[in-house]
Amino acid sequence: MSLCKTRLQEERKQWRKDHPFGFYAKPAKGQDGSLDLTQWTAGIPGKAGTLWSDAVYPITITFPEEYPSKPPKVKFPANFYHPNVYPSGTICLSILNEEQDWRPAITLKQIVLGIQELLDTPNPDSPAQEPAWKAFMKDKALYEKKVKEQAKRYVNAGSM
Amino acid sequence: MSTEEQLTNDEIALYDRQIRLWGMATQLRLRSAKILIINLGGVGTEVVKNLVLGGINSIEILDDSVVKEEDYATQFFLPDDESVVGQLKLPLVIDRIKELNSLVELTTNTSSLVKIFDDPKYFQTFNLIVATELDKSTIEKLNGITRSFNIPLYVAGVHGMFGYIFTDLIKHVSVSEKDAGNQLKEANTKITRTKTITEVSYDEKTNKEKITVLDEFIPISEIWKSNKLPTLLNKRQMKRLSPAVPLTFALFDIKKPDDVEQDVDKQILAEQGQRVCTELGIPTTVISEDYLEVFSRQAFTEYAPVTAIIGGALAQDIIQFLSKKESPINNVLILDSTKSEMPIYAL
Amino acid sequence: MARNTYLKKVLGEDRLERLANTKVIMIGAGGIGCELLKDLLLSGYGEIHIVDLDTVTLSNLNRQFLFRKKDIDKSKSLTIAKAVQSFNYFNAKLVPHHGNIMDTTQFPLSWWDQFSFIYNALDNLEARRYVNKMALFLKKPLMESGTTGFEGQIQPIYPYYSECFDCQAKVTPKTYPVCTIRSTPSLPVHCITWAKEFLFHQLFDESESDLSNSETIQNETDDAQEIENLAQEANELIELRKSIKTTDASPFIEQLVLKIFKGDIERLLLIDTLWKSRKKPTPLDWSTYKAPVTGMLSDISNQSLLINDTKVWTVLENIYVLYKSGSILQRRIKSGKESFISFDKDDEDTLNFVAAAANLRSSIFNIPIMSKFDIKQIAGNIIPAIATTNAIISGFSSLNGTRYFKYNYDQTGSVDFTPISKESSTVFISIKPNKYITAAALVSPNEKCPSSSLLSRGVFQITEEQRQTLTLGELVEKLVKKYGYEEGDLSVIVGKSRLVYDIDFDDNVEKKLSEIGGIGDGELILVQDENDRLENLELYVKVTDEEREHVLPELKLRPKKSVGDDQSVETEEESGGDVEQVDGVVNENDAIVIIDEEDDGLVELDEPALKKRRIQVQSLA
Repeated sequence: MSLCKTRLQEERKQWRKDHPFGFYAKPAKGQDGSLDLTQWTAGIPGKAGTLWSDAVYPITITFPEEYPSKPPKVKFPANFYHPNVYPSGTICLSILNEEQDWRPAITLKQIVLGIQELLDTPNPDSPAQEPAWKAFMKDKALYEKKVKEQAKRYVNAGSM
Repeated sequence: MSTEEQLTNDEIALYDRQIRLWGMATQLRLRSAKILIINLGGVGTEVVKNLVLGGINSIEILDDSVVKEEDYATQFFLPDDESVVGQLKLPLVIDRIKELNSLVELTTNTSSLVKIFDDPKYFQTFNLIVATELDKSTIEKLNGITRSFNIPLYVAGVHGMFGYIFTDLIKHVSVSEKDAGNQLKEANTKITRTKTITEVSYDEKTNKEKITVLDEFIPISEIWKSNKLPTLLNKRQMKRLSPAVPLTFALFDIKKPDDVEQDVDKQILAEQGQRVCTELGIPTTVISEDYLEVFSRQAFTEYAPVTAIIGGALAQDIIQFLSKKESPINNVLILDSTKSEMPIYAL
Repeated sequence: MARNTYLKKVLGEDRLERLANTKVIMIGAGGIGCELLKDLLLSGYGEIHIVDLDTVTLSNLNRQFLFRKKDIDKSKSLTIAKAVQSFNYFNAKLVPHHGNIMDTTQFPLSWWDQFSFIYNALDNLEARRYVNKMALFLKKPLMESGTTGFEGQIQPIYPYYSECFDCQAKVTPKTYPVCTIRSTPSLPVHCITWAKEFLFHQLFDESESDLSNSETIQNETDDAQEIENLAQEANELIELRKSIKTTDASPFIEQLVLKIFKGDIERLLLIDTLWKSRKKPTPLDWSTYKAPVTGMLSDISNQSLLINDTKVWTVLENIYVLYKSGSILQRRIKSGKESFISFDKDDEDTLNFVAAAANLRSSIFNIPIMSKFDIKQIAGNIIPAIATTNAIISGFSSLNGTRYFKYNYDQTGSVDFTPISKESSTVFISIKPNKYITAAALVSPNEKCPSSSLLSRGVFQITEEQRQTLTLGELVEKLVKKYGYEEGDLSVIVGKSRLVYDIDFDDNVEKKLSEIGGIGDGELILVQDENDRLENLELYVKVTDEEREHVLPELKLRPKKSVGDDQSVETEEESGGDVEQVDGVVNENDAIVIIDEEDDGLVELDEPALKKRRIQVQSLA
């Protein structure tokens, strides 16, 4: 549907004009030299002053054909350490769930800001993985250690 | 439906798409129905096609007419052959109709209706009668007989862009099952003057309600002079009432011109229309000049899309009636296709 | 006296003569098509083209009255054109085309151009959208129609003057998460989907099932153990598939049953997280069934079960049916005549296999078992269909379409659809105690419609040679000059969503158009103004042999509408598994209209429509 492609180019344009500091987002380049507007990679910087700071966490964003009626799928790398991220990397966030808070008007910028917010304020009520969730609930020291270790791995990941 | 009665595998395969809609029980009811269709004009052709496809047990067509040139406007079972004009119609079309569905028993009768009136027992062999394109006195005579034998009667016809269905199904109870809405239906509620909800049962598990509706009918002879129309319409609706309503009524009292090229006399139509307005208790101003013009020209003509709509709605209602599930048309339907309107009035 | 006396009286002599010289196209020769073609022929159209890609099946015959048993498996379009010759009373020229209307080789844009009116009698969303787009490109009137069960509707479409097919959001098919299907079914439909799309597909069909795609699974599941388990299940199935050709029937089926209904389930039970809030499945106890099944197999009279569609089979009977159908499918593959078998609801062997497998899985997961008849409806996405609804809707379709020819249009210039769109209406069947149909006046295109409001359309004509010499950069230059974009500030998207150029992305400007996939004959290019001054432009690429300069369409792009929150179009999606429809689909979201207060004070037997809109339809045809 052309609504999908029109909207995707609009997102690309809006992102170019105005995107939050420290973030990046770009469509994937295909073998034929074109940009696939339905496949994006993006980077989420951890907020300053949090466990997550000083690193940029990579995500992939996949837009379905029914977008923006249906939300994009957003993933961290597999086994990303966070209570609300599934082992596969899929992010559990209500604005990305069609049956919950997804609205067609939600922009790419709002999505990445939402994910940034989620990093340091996990939702204990929707556990998506065992290790991070358990640690977050019962062993804050372990949790912090793991998060910081992970942050180190992504220090340079966000180079644009 | 008796338990030992079952559809064969062949029937289930053939009727698959409709059984999925109305269920095996309805299909069995259709399979046991015997229907008489009086006159095979444009509407008759469409109705017979739809009922044969639907899988009625047996259908007899009664028609003593001969093929006329103008029949080619709508009657698609006719052979495309000039030389048959003037020949008896039924023998020329029956084989083609049979081809539609070998499971339906089709018979023809080329006696004149007037003759059969002398021996009305004939009608008793049918569960339901459909009469098309009859004049007022014939309808009344037939309706008298169907009433006396307790046989449901449908009457229908077309005038160019316009069409009608009248029903006298005497008394009918139907039980439908629907997803319950926010507000449950209540027993002893009148849907219209002649349609009453008599029983409602609600199934909490499935959130469905079973609604029993009683339909009561009046003889067609009482419909002509019904004074109920004004009570069914508010001021605005009265203002927008299609002139097709009184003009359709008026044409029952006007003879079809012998020469098909000829129009119905506009003056006569206007007079009859005014009489009908008075009888129905509606203002004579309902009838506009342009409708008079159109009706005088299109009276008794057949136009395929319109015969398809009327024939479709008619066959549909017959199937619903036989299924005992949905409440049928009660008691006058008028199609004004120029305005895309198809109101039903309980007169 | 003549055959057309009535037509003259009803339509008038002028219109009748126009119709006799009119060429129209009817797309779809199914339920609506049969009825519609009859009406069009009897209305006096001079030339009617018929397009359909389908063949006749038995279940068509309850309503598609132009087909007979002897026509089964024959082309619908060719058969229908022959069938109506028996009542081609006004000597119309009938031109059937067996093919897919979306095939741009068989039906290029130039082919479409010959018709004055398009009648749709289609059964699927994709083709409807495509034809709608063609109508918009060529500014041709289109009559849309659809039915399901007792419901039906028509929508006349006068491009850019009234709403197009895409102006109202359509219901999209319900999909289920892979994990529900593969690990935790709770409804019959989950087990049927599993049996058809996963089990059957993996065992017998050509390519790998989407349901075993690890990418898809990883996108959806929340459990590493589950992912691993699902991968193992799928791999074992691949092994089993390999054994189809090498094993005998008995061991093959036994292995299958043991793996699918016992081993896989036992393994699934080991994943505790799945069963915290769900009832545990019970693996099939093969030992208690083995002997009775063998007994059943030795009695030939049991074969009648295979054609008993309405009986709800017991577990034992399901195993029997699985055994029988599985071994027949195995034999078909082994015989070498078929290298793979796709599920087809009308192929009894495939249906039996899927029904039995679905039921066995259901019984394991404490889900009700269904009859084959009911499973067929879900597995085959069957929409109920009847003759009467099709007859009524076709009547309204032809009647309202023929109304268009009241006017004498100058076929050379662009047509002003104002008068006809003012007097036309959409019609819905909505049977109530006080009326049979509901009509609504046509309204202007939805300002947020991606197809008709937010863009202009035109044909970009080019020769093959030019396609191989012109660069993308040169094309962008030409677009700028022709339509007045600011230098380079536009974007070019081809295909579904492939960006080939914008101000930030000039990697491809040196490439020839032929080197950029997506700029071939019949393909679409979307051009957007990055400054938001001009509306979007969609170009249809037409590669011609005509030796002349490539031509960009003569269009004046309108200022872009400020669409504001145009993206927040709410599509009220409902469940409903109608992927393949029979005679079309009535879109509930379209049901936005109720005529007037005739309904007031009446108890209605069904629910009131969502919104109300007043209308006035006036006109004598």
